[in-house]
Amino acid sequence: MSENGLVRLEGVSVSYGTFHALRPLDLAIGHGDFLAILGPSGCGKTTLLRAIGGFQRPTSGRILIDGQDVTALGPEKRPSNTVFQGYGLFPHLNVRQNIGYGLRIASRGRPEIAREVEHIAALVRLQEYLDRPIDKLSGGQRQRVALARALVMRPKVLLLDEPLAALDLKLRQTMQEELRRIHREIGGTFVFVTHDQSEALSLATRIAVMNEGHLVQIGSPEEIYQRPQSRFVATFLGEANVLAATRRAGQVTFAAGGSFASKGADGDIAIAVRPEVIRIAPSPGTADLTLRGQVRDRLYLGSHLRYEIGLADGGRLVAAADATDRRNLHAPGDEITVGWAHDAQVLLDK
Amino acid sequence: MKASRLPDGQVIRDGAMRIRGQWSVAWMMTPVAIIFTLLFILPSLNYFVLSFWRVAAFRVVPDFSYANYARALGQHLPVLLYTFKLALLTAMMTTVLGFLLAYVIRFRAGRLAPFLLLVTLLTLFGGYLMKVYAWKTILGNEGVINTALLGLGLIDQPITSLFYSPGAVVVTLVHFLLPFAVLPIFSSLRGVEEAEIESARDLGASGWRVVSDILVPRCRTGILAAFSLCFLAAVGDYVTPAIVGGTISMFGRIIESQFGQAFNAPLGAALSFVMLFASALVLLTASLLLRLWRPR
Repeated sequence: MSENGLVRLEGVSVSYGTFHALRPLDLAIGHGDFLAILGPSGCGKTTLLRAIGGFQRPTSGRILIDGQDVTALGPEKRPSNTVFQGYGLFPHLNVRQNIGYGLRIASRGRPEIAREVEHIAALVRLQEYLDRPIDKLSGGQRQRVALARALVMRPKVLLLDEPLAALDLKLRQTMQEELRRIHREIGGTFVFVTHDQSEALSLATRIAVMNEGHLVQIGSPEEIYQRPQSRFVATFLGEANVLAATRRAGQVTFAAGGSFASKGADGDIAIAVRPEVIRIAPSPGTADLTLRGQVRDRLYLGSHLRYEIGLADGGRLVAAADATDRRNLHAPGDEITVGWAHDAQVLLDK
Repeated sequence: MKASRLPDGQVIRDGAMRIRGQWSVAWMMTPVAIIFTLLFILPSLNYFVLSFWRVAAFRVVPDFSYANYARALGQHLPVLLYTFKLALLTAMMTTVLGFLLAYVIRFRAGRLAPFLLLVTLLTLFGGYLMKVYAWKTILGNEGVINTALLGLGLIDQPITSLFYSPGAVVVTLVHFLLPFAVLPIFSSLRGVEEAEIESARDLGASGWRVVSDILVPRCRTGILAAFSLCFLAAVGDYVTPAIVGGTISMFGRIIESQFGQAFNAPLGAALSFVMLFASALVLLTASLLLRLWRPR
């Protein structure tokens, strides 16, 4: 079961007339995954989540949850539950009634509902707020109610639409920890949509990057960050220098000078390098590749120094250096050498 | 609560502001209060006193008798009940239709919503009598339906009961009152987030459960306002029954005739107060029922 995926999308697409919100895509989400669907606004990530939840009928393709074809089923018949961006809490009901609503619809007995609600309230730490009306809750508490209301249904897959977008930074960090803890404790399958790459990196066990309706790349956070397959992924997730280079007869030469051996077809290529893997004035033998440049700007950011370096071809390179290392201090205008290891750079498809 | 956390001087100024605010509210209320007193409370008191008087030899004579009320609740009770039956039917139909229309405008119409709302309002500009006569051209003896049926040879005689009937009164009133039901319900529905409905569906609610558990409780005030407006307009109406109702008698027509041909203003006044209290009772019951409406 798990190699096929708990949730499987086969050729799912969504279009409105001539506008393609979602290009045909295949996606498998495994048992226990905590999957982030990451992308800029308008990339189709929410449409994808709504298609899984049953709120958006796909134009083509099939959706399977736990082997059952749910493509034609409405949200009320799917073994999934959603935490909406605006939470969608029922303001005429109190916290207890909100959380118990789904169980009441399912005609569970009163004692069972009470037990389940207490149990899930303990999990999201809402026990003391059960009898409060919704409008007497803070943003973070509302978030917990929405989460509890979905979790109490014991969904096979929990869908979260920008779950932390409405919270301030401090609360967001707390809720990130909470979400991770809850995921760990109940061992469920979570899928969440976000445009915040740091949120995706810190929460998810897998990340699906989307752009313009396409699923661009899917993999573990490390894979996505360290081995981006395209310029879009490299620059959307974290910061990356994308350098132009040309390959001739197995030798790649940067437009800014410097070269290395690499097999492949001749032509123009792009190479991504993360700022933190770039060494400034590397001691001989520690860098496989070196480039010459001139320091344009230096920023002190507490944990590290950020150098902006002008290259020979007019390009720009950003490098992060250890702020405590006094050897690394260079002033704007200094001519320096920068270098990095072979395996620290990524050759992009385009 | 916020004031207590501010420095002392601030609190006092805040208090002064509030008092000045209360005064300005009082000033703003004054014109309404005057108009309301002059045009409603005083005349009502006048008629309340009048309702205990009697008529002798075509003259109104001061008295203190319950005779008018006895007649209102005796002789005229069947008409009162019949009127309330029609008005209740009208108000319930209008409220349900208004709810459906408001729901469509709020959640389903998308970009057409402002246009649909305008169309709803537009029928208000049509005027009341125009609508009555419009229904006459549809339902009347020489109206569209009868002419068509005659032309097709399905009937030999026009169906008179189509128009001069209680049904025609209800249809005409429902048509006329629909905007008054749509607007308050729509404004209540505007406060309901789409995510609430989607959440309910996500948690397993069927369409009907969404209506009964979410929409009705969330729109209580709007529904009550719609029902009240429609019920009061329908129960007090005497023009529509006179034009489209044929021989049927509604309470409003009886009251009107007491102030006219029958020349019995005291009885008319008593009938009016009976209707006022009966209507208040209906609306109270309706609001109580709505308050008792809880998701199971």
